[in-house]
Amino acid sequence: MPFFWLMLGVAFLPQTAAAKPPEPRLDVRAERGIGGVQTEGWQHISLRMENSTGQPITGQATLYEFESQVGARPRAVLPFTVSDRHVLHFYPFRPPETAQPSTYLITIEDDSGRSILFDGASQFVIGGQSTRALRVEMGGAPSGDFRVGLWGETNTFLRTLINEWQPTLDEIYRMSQGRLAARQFMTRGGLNQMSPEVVPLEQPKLLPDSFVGYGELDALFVLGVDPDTVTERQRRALSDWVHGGGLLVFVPSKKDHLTSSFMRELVGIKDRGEVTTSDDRHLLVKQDSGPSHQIIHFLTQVDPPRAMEVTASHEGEPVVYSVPAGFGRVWIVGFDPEAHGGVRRFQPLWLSILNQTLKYRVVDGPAPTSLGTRYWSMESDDVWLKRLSDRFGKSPAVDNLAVLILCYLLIVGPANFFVLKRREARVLLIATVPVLAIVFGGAVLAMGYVSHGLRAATNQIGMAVVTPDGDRAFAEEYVGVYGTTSAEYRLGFPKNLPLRPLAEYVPSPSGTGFENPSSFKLAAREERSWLEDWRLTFWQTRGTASIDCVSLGSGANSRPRETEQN
Amino acid sequence: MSNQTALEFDAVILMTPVRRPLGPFKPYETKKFELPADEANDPLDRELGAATTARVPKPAIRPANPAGGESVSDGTDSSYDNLSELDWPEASQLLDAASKRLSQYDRDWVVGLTRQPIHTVESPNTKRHLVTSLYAWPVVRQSKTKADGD
Repeated sequence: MPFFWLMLGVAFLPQTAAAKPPEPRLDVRAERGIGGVQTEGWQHISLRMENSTGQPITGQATLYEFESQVGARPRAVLPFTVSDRHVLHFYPFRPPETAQPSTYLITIEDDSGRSILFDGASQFVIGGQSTRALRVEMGGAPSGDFRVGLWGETNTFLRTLINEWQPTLDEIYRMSQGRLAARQFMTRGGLNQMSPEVVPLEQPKLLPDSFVGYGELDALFVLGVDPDTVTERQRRALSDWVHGGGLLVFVPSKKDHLTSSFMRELVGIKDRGEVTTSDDRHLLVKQDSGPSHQIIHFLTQVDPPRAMEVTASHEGEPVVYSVPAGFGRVWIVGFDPEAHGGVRRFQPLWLSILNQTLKYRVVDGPAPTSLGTRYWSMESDDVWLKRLSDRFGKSPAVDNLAVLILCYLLIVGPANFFVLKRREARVLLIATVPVLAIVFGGAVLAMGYVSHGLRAATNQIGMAVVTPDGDRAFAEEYVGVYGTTSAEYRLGFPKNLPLRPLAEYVPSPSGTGFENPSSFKLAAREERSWLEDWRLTFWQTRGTASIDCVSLGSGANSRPRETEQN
Repeated sequence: MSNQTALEFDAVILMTPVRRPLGPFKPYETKKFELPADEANDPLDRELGAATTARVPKPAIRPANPAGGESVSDGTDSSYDNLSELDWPEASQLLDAASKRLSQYDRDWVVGLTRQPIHTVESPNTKRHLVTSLYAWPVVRQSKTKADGD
């Protein structure tokens, strides 16, 4: 008989083991900002998840602002399904002038809310519960005045060159005499000396999928990289960044790189074949670089034609040139330097291009599309909220409410007692007090009804700067919600729209910056992102601010003026 | 980047920096043009040149007051007299904000005002009250299209 039970147990053992699914396990890594540099305003955190279980894992990742173990506030929730690898992008807002680097926590849960095990996490107390989370420190603030990103460099030559580059601004000042932007740039640095800063982009898979994620990067060198290898959203974000004022230097290692779909969309570049030169004297080559090279040039043209600044040409054909793209600019280098003596051989060419990028940045100043970050202040937030509030109608004045409360206290207390005492009916206090409370409460509600009605409402105002090409606009938009009851209000926005509450950042008690103690959370669903945990009290107005690059489609039309309003 | 249908503007305004011999070019001079437009009379086309009018709302636009009723703002005045004719006070506020932002850039701007939202926002249990959006185009004069990209 014992043998029978033993056999039975052995027979069932494999099934029991098979019935228990393996714990899902993810390998997770977070990349902070662009090249790890702290930016002001909107920040970018990318979360790379790799699934080695062989089975798809579905769940959601939650980003918390982390002040302390008791001060972790959920701010963004993104759903995911990862079969092999997947990247999520968070865009939290950090008010400028905050001294301390921001800290965030990321937790990963399955659809039922249970934590998913993943590598690289530590144990934290969130909401009173011990939770496994990934800690993301946003790193140091940028140290240079002019930030140059490097994507695709395989050696450290350019990194060293940019770090040791000491641009003089005297000539640029002479060129830009009387230009306001130049004066502002001078004021910002305070000196006639620029300090360039290299920002290496070593994880192209983690590049932002919104132009917002490029922060305050001034220029970007792309060397020997096929830009079509990143996702379509990442290509669009890079294109938006250029059109919004970014300076892109594109150095291909193949002709196909120049005619990639990214470059075609960016500046309408077209292939015009190749030409082999007899030497490289038309290029800027180091004097001690040895014998001359025959250069295979990739000839291109841009369609539609744009004003071109030529750095080098061969027999009248521009081979190194730049063209405007929106508020930004793109430099095209029409050959592969690695195949013709190496990048180092063309050091004067890179310095010339760097000086040109600096010239455009100094002369033009920050692009008008740099909305939302450079202009953030508590005061401007208050102004926008006031504009939204004004349009809801007049609120009951604080003076009127104060008088009403004072009257209530006088009547419900001393006056009520005195009258009842005169009539020797003090026992009626148990009836007169609630009646008076009801009467005054009704008066308050009536004031709200008269001024605003009974229905909650939204107001929406937006401001967009259209690029010179007219195909896209950089927009900031403000939405105000007026609440008539104490309740949670939900707002639905386009998915992945960077969003923040309006006029709710207050100086931190520690005196080191700003914080937002109120509750709100942006949770992405199938088609939209929903603002949740957003509560309004009676007659209160709260607002949101968002930033985006919108396509303008087929253009604009005028229509006769209409007097009716929404 | 969101998809967006074609825009329709209720009012179009030209913002021109008033250049002074010395110092910054503030304030902005604003010229208000009212729709509907008269195809035969196209002052904005003449003002801006063909490079810009390709992107300026069509049909052509005529000034609200051809007899010289252009309003001039010092950048802080929110009246914008001509706009008040539209019974659209919030547009004046937006124009103020835009003027302060854009006055840093030595360019002319075309500004379009519309009651279409930039993004569609869902708000269950609330009614949509008012929407105003402002779009600002930089003016690209053909004569300025030099090799340096200015």
